[in-house]
Amino acid sequence: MKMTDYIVSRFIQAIPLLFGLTVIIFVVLMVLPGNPARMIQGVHANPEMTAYLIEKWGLDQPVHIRYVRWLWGVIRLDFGRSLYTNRPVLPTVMSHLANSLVLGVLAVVGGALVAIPIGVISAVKPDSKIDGVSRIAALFGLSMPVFWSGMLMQIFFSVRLGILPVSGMAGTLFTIDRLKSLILPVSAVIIVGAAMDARVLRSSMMEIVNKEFILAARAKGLRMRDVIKDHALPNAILPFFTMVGLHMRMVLGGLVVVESVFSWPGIGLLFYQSIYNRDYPMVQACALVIAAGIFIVNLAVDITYAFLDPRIRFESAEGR
Amino acid sequence: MNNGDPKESILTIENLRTYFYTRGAVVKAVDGISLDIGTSEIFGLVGESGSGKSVTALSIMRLVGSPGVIEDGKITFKGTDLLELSENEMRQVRGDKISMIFQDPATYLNPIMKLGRQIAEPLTLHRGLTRSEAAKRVLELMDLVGIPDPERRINDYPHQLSGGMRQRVLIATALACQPDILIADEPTTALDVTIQAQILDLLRELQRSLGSSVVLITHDLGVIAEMCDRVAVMYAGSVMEVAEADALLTNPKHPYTAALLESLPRLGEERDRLHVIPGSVPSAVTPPSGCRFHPRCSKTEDGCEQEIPSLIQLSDGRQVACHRCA
Amino acid sequence: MMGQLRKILAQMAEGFQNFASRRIALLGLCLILVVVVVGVFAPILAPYDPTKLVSTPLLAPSREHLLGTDQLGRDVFSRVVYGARVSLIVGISAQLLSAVIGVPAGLIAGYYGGRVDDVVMRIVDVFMSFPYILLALMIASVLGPGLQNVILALGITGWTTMCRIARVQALSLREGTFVESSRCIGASDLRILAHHILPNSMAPILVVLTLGMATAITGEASLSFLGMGIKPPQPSWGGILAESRGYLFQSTTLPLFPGVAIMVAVLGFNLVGDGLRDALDPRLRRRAL
Repeated sequence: MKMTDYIVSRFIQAIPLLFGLTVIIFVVLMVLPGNPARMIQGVHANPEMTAYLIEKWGLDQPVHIRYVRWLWGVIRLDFGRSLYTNRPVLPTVMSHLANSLVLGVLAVVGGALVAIPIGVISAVKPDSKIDGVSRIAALFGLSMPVFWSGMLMQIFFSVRLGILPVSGMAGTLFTIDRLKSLILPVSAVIIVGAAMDARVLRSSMMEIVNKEFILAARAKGLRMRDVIKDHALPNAILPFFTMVGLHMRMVLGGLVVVESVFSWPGIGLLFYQSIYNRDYPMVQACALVIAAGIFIVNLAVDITYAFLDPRIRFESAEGR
Repeated sequence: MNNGDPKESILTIENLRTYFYTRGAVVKAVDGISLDIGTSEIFGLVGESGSGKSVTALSIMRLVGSPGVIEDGKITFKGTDLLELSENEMRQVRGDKISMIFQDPATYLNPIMKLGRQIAEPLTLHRGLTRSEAAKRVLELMDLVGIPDPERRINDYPHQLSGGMRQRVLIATALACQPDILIADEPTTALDVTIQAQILDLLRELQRSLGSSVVLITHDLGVIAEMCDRVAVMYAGSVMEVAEADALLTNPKHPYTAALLESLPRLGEERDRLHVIPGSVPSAVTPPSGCRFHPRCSKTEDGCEQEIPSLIQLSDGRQVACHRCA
Repeated sequence: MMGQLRKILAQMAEGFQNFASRRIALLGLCLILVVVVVGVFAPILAPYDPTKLVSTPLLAPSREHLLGTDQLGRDVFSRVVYGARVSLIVGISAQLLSAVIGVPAGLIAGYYGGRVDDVVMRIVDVFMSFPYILLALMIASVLGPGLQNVILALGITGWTTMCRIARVQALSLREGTFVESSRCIGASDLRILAHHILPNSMAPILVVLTLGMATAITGEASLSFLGMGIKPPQPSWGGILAESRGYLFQSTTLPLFPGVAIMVAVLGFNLVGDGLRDALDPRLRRRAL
């Protein structure tokens, strides 16, 4: 029962946040120089057409009216039409979001899977050769800008070896083509993500391994292997898990550079292109969806964490 | 080494040296101690912080962490030198033949593992019990150590229990395989005074019924008085005196022991200031020459500074490391 | 106050000694120094003007052109060298701007608590509800490309981390006895903040500042890569990488070396930041069991 209260209160807290964000985005768009009505006509813009478009799109209305109109639409789940393509905004945004999520979830999960063995080995045998090598590799990994590692992958696998497509999202879901076009972008993101994860896990594990209950576990005669598996790792995973949550936040929208390198039709790229095109409805919708997505991911991470950690799940006894 | 006591020895430590190689200095935490633990006895190991008591316990269990190394010595348990065993062989001893409980039950229990499972671990490991067989035994053990409502508690987590209860859990875990020796490192220091008494009673009762030996490490002379059959007094990594508890407390032979007892405030005593032993605990890196205690001893003679006194046997079965008692 | 300062300086000196004994942190410092030297002495080190066309496009590396030429015929080496200036200026300035905004905000929020804290944290939440790059992208779009605008955009987006760390410090320090005693003497809040809380928070703030510079450098590279950063033809590492995209088949140096440069710079700041964190954190000193 407490959990539902908690969820509800988080949602209630989120509303003013999202509200505030959309206002900010709106204001930014107001301040953005450039006129979409003129831009869309290109070189042969004429004043009558521009005036017509401005009126048609309601861009001549006062700011607060426009905002309220838009908000009203959002409540009815009507995000309007793109100024650029004249197609409904919501389906486009959602499909792009899905693409980003596919990329992002794979990258985050992949990164975590790569990081766990590295982090564990590093902590169990600190200062060994393997530890040194993996620490250096991790440092390199997270110092590499993501778009550069993407480009390197492109150069190596596409240009040199020609086995994987340079860019673009091919095929439909669950086809080989789609899979092939996923590999490079996902790998590029995994490099950075795994590096960060490995470092966090390593330091988390090292801290745990020095804890007293580990000594107690060894005093029972447990093998080191079991001590790590049953005692150290489960405790170290908890803070590591919140880091994965942080990654998911970067995934939504933060992947704009990777999407750009690989021409992957994700929501970050859509957001950026829409700003470029002054496609106001699209920008606003993207912003809202991204922010809402981040909120949901954060909430999910917090809830899962509370679920995993019995100290939070169950009330503690009085005092000591 | 035989102290003339009719009890058999179950554990004999000979000339144990455990040093810590830290950056810059070698800390001689345990510098040549020898002890005899008898079967079914409660053996107290008393001393100030830094005297090396805990390190001795960890050395017996061979759980001394880096940068510590057991430099020298022999620890004979039921005929085998523990220091000669492989890690695998030693693992079989830990938790099964010799087990250990620690000072602060809050930090010595895995916070995210159910209590039942933690108590069951030595059982599944050393006795090969299945989960369900172990569960039965765990309930018995929890009953034995006085944890109420064990069927419910078995699925609880450490933070749901009070400090005293947690310590009982640790005791249950340590006794699960009915060890020959239970090492208790300051088991009551982190607990409230009333709980302390309960835990000590429990330990005494369990020791009597199981017949195990207990090595009780503490800095509290009151605990020694109440619990122990024999006591060893440690100071600065060496053993100063070994004697039966009563004899030690009423008639200490070593100046250090005497000074310790002097420092205890007594009811009905008229005094302006508490008696303190002058000076401070010596550095374990550069210990004083000769007898470790001589800089603070009020009864030094020539020779105390030159020679380290060895542990000599007295006529009444005691051992003292002091030139004056030679 | 002088005594306070002296004590803190002594602590820091010890911390720096600690730092200096870690080889890997020193390596980071060297890397940063290399970048700084290259940036500062760019006019001397660069054989050609980075914006002028000096030769045939897309030449391979040779003695005249150490890294070859780009798609317009400009010397790549000179461009990379001048790019160091941009990255450093942006990285350092943007992060300092974030600090100037974030640290006072955080200290005030943590020190006063209550409504003030709520308000500040709400604002932080709004900023953090949106990805860093997208926010910077938006602001850069409004301001337009250019060096100063990039610094502004990154500085405004990056203040939240500095704010948080300052707030945490203020929260834990405001209960300190020296704060209490200062209040008893009648010191004003501003005085306490400036003379007690701020100096004692310097260590973690410094760590986050250094690590933040690494993020800012990557941020500038990303913005330039996406076309919203440094205005061409001014060379920027991210910008060169963006330009190289159409020529992946024709040139190896173009997409390679600016990226290496970015990595070196970011690695340097990361290593130094890590080293500072390890050195200045008293809890991390090796414990003998």
